[in-house]
Amino acid sequence: MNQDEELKRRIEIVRQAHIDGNEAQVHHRTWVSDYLSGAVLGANDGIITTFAVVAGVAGAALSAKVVLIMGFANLLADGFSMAMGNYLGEKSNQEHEAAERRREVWEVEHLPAEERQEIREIYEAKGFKGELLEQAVEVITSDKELWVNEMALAEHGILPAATQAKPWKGALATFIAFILAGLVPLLPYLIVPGYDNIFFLALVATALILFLIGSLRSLFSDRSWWILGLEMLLVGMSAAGVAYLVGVLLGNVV
Amino acid sequence: MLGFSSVQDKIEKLKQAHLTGKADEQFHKLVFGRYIGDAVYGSYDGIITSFAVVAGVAGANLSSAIVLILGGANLLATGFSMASGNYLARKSEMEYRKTERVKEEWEIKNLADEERQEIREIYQAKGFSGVDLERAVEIITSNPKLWTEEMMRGELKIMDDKDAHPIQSAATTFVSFVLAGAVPLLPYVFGRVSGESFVWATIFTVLVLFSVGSLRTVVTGRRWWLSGIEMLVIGLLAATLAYFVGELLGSLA
Repeated sequence: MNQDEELKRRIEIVRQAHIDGNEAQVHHRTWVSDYLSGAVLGANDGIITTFAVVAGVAGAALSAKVVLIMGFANLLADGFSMAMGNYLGEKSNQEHEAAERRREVWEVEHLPAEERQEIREIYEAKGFKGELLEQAVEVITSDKELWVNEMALAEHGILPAATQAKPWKGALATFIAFILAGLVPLLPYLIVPGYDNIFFLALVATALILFLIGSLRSLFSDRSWWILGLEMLLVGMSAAGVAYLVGVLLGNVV
Repeated sequence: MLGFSSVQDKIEKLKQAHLTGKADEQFHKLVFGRYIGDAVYGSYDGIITSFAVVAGVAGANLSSAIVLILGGANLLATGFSMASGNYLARKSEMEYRKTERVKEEWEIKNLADEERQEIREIYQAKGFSGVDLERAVEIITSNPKLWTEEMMRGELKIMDDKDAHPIQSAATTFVSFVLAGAVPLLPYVFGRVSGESFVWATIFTVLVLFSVGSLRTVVTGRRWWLSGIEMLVIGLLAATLAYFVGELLGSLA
């Protein structure tokens, strides 16, 4: 298929999505934003948490079984804690936005002239002028909810609350990604428990899963997969390095 | 922050703020509020992480110095890991928005009629009609940048990324993680043996969970005690889980 046909095909698919009214889901995958950052966050921290456990026991010559139990237990406890942290963080964000919106409502009720002028400025900036501008101001300010929505969006970049992702969705994505990705550094202890240099295998598994998840982000990014993979590998390995050094240091102290 | 003596005083002061163009900073506290999520996320996990360390060594009767070293080192390492995770997450979110913008630009170029119709629907929903509606559609669609922006916000409900600062978000997470996470360790500074200090560490953990939880109301405007209790309950749940996992592991290793 040549490029022209490819383009025509894509145009047809997206046109059909417009007709079906599901363009936002199909072409833009708007559902992604509910889960994306929570999943990346959880995967990164799950991998590093497990790697820290593995690194911590590497010198202690514990059996593979003990490493697995420690790793699993840590995954559950830390994954839960992380997910809850993400939930509280996102919820606080949304509560902050709700508070900003309430202030905007107050302003519209108590300073209507000033707020009307701000709507005028917003639409003037869009290119409205003369009689049409006055009409637009009239239309917007005659509907209080719309008025507040327009102000919150243009002035503070706050979208209407009904369109925001539920905080538990991001938290769930964090928990699941934390456990799934965090399992990978443990895999060598499950598959080849007796291997001499098993910590080295865990290190390789950690690097691979960091790179893999990093590059998977290219599904939702316009940067190339290997740059994204390298980015997550570097950021993750430096965090893992700090965790490892701290573990070694503590091993000497205790 | 502005102080208001009465509703009338508030109205007057805000009129003045609107005139000088300072309504944003003074009334809306946006600059601080933008990072509230990162700060809450970091401080919450810092507290739980430190409590887990303290709980893990509670039975071992180690010296206070060792608990402080263990706790401090853990705070730095885990805090760095959390901050790096947050950095990657914010960056992914930013890039996702950018790719959606590229797609929207593509649609405007290749499916101009459909996209024009969508602008018409957005403005119809706002209450525009007749000639005004057609002129509004004309103005929006004559400026491709504005057209894209209106579609992003109106149709996809995606905000452009001028507000996203991955590095600042990560730094906020790290600093709140270390500061809040230091609180459960404080009792050990006063030179007691770890078994005795654990009771105090638990009390400090409860207090700091409640304090951070209720401090959120500075930017969220909810009732302080309700926000405090919410964070306390969720935090104690996670801390309990961490405690039992620690017990289990102690009996194994």
